[in-house]
Amino acid sequence: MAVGLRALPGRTAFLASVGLAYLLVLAPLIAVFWVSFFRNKIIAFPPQGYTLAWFANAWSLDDFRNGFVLSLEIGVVATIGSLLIGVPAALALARHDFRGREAISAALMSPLIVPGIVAGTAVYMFYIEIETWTDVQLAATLPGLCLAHVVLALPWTVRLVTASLVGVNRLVEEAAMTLGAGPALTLWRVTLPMIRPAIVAGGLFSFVVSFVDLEKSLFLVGPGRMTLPIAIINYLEWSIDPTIAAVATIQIVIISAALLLTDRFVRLSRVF
Amino acid sequence: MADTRAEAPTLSRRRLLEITGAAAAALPVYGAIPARADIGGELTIANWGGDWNDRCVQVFEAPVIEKKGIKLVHDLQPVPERKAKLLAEQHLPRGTIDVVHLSDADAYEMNERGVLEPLDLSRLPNYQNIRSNLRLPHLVTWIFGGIVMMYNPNKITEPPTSFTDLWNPKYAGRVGLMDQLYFNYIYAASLTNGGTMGDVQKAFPALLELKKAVQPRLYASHQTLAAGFANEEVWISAEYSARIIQWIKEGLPVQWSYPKEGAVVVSFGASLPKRGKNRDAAYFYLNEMLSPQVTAGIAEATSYAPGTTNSALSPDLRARLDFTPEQSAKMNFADYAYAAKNDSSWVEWWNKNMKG
Amino acid sequence: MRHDAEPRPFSLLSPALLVITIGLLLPMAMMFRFSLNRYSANELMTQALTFSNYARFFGDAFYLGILGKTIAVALASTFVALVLGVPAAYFLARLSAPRLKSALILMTVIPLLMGNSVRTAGWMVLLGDRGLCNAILIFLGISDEPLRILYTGKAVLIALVGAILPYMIISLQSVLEGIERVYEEAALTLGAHPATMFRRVLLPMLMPGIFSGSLLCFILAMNAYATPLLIGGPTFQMMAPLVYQQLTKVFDWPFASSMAFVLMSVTLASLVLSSVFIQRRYGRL
Repeated sequence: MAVGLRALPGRTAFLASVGLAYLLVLAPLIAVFWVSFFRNKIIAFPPQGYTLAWFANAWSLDDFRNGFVLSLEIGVVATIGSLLIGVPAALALARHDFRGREAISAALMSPLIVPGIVAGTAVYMFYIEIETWTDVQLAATLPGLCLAHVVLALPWTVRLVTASLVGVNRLVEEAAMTLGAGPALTLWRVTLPMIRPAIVAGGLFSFVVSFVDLEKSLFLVGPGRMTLPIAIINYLEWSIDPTIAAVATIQIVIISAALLLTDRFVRLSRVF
Repeated sequence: MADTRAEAPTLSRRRLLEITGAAAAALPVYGAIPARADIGGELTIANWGGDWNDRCVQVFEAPVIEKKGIKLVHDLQPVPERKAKLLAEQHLPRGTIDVVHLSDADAYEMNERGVLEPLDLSRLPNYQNIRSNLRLPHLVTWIFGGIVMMYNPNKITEPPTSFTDLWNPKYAGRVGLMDQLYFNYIYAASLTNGGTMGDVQKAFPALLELKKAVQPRLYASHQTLAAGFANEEVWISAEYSARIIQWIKEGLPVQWSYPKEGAVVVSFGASLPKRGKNRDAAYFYLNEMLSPQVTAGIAEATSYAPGTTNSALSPDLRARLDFTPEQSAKMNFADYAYAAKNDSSWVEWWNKNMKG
Repeated sequence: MRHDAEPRPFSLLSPALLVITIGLLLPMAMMFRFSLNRYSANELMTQALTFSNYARFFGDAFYLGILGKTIAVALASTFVALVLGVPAAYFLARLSAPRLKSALILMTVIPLLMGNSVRTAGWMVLLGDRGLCNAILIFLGISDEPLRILYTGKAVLIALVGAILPYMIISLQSVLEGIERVYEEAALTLGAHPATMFRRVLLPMLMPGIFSGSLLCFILAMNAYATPLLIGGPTFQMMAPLVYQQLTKVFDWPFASSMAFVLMSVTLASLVLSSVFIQRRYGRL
């Protein structure tokens, strides 16, 4: 235990509030795990017994399996896309002073401020408008959906990477330059490794916001294409049995396993 | 309804080809070939998702449509998004949806807003089997149900007989209402207070009394209302008959009873959006929806009553799912034009007064 | 000389700006244009140039009330998230065992993957009349009959705080990681009371994290949709569900658009105000 901690006299109060914070964060997750084993056909407490049948049901429904795969794919595209365009933007914002810097920074943060359903509708109508003018179809296509998700993820990358760049000691980069490294080499061998934790964190949050997005995607998915959150609310319209809890459990176990694997390569404890 | 767009049969070239094709198929030499072997291709169906779509696929689409060699693509989403997309895409040159599943009121509204194609009845021989009071010019109705009373028999031993039971102060705090069914509660309040389906002004003071008398709990969806019944948070409500029968099947401790004012009818079916691509397959789909086996199968799967007169429903299922002749005679039908005109102000009234 | 070789800011920014312009700014400009149109029951809307939709919103105490409630709920949940988030982030940042720390970080982030509709199902089981919480309260004899928690403002606050806390914890923790422990230890060694140390040493250095974490949580709470709708129930009205209803159920797009712009303007204004205030007090962050 940390030194600073032990010195606190209000240690009990401190630990209690840490416990309360994690209780609020984890309670619904644990409840959902638990409910996925309930025998009740309508989600309610107390359990009438336990069963594994909902997992079998969740696995047998194509909508969930296909939705999971599609959400995963879009999440990966959104992550890569937002890193590819977000990291350079963060470099410009953190390393250059130019006119309109604040405005551009605000513009890049704007996807956070627009409510998902509003952004989804606006983008959808804009795609329709583009199509009437140019005949290029974006509505109900995979590229159209991916573009919207890159936008959704962008502020997270820009924000985390900019904050990290501001904290990086410029002297290290200047030393590299003085020793003869060109700007590209310095960027690749010095700057990027120093902000690697922020890149991983930005990527992680990009993936999360894209993966769980419901409101923005509602209008942008198309025939034969349904993301997991949409499959879940479609299911919830007709039954409130623990299948959705089982779906969430499976999905979280798979992604946690992937994160634990990541942790072996990039220590998450050093990322944030 | 003033707007009867159902067209008189016309003998188009395509129709002529179909008839000759059918005639050819009837020849002994070609006896093994299905009458309309030429239909095929891809058909995009917009529908509700979840269990609803799974049931449609199981009892209808897989055995009847896909077996014909038609490839189905599904666009599955809740009805508000489905309607919004139809509206937004109406000025596009391409159509994205070939067949859209809608309720009676939704179909009326979409037709009024000009996004549906009038049905060519000459291509829908089974249309005449739809019960006469459920026939709509822009919707192929295959099932129907009604808003009836729903209650927990362990808590309420005397089955409710009227919508007015919702006002009973005995059930204060135990009345559950489903937010999105607001218009049905407006109808119910109108019917019990001397109003009609076409003039609901009397409903509004009555609903305010309801709020004062029993402080109803409002639920955001059908399924959260069911969870409220499972928890015994609420004991009584008014809901779609089929939803209640489905919940009884799932073991929820509820029963339904028919209100003496008559149920408020809801019906479901499918329509043709404008600019759909595969019209031949779409008409085949719509016509087959009404076949005796399909209406029986979908009624059993969804717990609604078949919307046709010649459904192949077994007698015991009919007893469980269909309404008696006396009940059917008392059914209340929405005045679609009136509802469409007033819906926006009803929503605002409901938001401000029942949810405020 | 060296600066010429460095890429210009514009070329670094242009891909992101292009994407954001096509993917959000132009669509939102179009949406703003919608908000000046007129509702029509027959078509989606009729072309007009009117502020009547905004007037309808601001002229109606009911809608202003919902806006006020939304702001109040967002402020309250942000405040609670901050109060609970600071100790949690401190605990996380000062954990020395890397495995434990990784595990705790995962436990902070993974609940976000549930998505809001599934998370609310979990809360329903916990907070319902016959939910786990009430079962425990009755078992312990704290209460005789079930407390009504679900479908009240309390439940919304609990669920919202649970949903935004991970963002607060991560924002604070990343700043705390950058603060060397030496400062705290020096203050304590010099005899400062831990509370004084926190207020005088840690808090000023933590300010950037508090600022960015609170802004983030405030925005997320202002735009919350599934949580107020499903946990608060239809009677607990907030802005995002209201906009949603106007967009997809009533099809009054002009009114929905104007409400969306009112909501966003309020969010934006509070961001600007708070950043001016913070900068005046603590300098540029």
